[in-house]
Amino acid sequence: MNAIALLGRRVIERVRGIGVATLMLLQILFSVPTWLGFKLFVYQMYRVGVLSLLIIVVSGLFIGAVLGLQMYTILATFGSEAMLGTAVALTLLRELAPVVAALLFAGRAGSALTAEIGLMKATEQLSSMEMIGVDPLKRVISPRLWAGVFSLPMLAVIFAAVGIMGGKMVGVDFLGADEGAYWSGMEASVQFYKDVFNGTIVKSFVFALICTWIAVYQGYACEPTSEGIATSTTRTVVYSSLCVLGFDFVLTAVMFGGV
Amino acid sequence: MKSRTSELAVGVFVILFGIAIFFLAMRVSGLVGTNIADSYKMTATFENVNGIKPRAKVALSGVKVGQVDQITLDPITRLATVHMTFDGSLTSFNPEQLNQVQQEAVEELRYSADYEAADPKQQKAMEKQLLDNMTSITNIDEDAYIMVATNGLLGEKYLKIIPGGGLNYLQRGDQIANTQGTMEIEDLVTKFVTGGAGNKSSDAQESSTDETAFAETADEPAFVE
Repeated sequence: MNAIALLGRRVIERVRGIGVATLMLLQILFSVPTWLGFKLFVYQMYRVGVLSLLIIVVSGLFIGAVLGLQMYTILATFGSEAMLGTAVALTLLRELAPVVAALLFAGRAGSALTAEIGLMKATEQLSSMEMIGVDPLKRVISPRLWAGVFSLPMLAVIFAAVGIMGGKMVGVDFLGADEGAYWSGMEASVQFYKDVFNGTIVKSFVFALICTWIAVYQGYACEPTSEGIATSTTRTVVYSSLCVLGFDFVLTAVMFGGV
Repeated sequence: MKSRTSELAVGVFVILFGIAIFFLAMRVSGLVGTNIADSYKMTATFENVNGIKPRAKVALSGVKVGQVDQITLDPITRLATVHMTFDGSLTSFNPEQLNQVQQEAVEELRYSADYEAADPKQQKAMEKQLLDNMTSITNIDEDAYIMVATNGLLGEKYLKIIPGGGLNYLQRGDQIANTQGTMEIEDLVTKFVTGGAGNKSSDAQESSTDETAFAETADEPAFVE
């Protein structure tokens, strides 16, 4: 009997959690922007976006390089190295750039957001803000959420661009595929609206919303103990990664599946 | 001070994003392709354009001279019409060459039976008409044909123009009459296996100038029934 009650309580708590998170998101999305809010947003943009730039650029370069290497060896078997540029660009733009950037973002920025907000809660900074009449949702959560939502698409685009350069570096410069074919094959097959806008920007925008939303909610709702912060941080990374991979399938099916 | 450096860093970040998206737009998706200085459009009607996509290249002797804009399906003839943009600087004669081509055309005209039968005034008019018709010609002659070709064994499909030997040249905006659609390997195999029984498709391969007549004859039985 006790076990059933526990299960019920768990389920009710989870559903309540979803409700709180949704209300929080709506409250942030439909709040009036202010000048102070913008300044805080720029600072968070620095912390969330700019500081993630290095890891994004480095992993983009290496992922592009590995793609170039693998694709070249496979395509060379069929004597169609001319398709290298197409393969690298489409793989990066449609799948790898948004997904890998989002996973890195969840690990690099999402966990930091959760830990920061969670510690604020544990040291009762959030409650004291409420006491002096400052809405912590506006002052703390909202700029972080917006910064995440805007910076991840930008990071994903940079990731894709760097990856294509990395693929060119390995495929063309090291392995000797034809440079003209690399670029012209790419130009012939990549469509700006379908692949760059839909594939990279829209996708990573959705991932950004999911990742940052999970991160700030987990921080906001974490148990105010050191163990609670640790659990929330782990949950942020795990939930974000799972949601990104799941939504990636859905989005790919919607965008490219029915062609 | 802390906020100023962070603002600067965010500015750099946004600029990086701008560069990246510019690179993706221009270099990767090739949005630059539309700014050919001297461009004009032409069409061709194919029986089968399987594999041709918008922005596929149109090549003359292996040189890219244009690209596919869009592909439409004619509801009556059920043939695919490919609309193409050509680069005028590659597919026109320069003034000297144009002069020579015009002279050759006039000479050709002088040997024709109609010209010899006509009186001098009519001859003048015919020559003038001929030259007027040649003001906006391309270097693609009327006997040239356009076919769907493949880049390598497994590569991209593109349109290949094979020049004929004619002295009459197509004008800008004309339709290239002689076409050959995609060659499906399956069709060829079927034809081989059935010993040419499937020659229905090879008859239709040449969708030549009288395609409207072809369409009418093709349509009639359906209405009669």
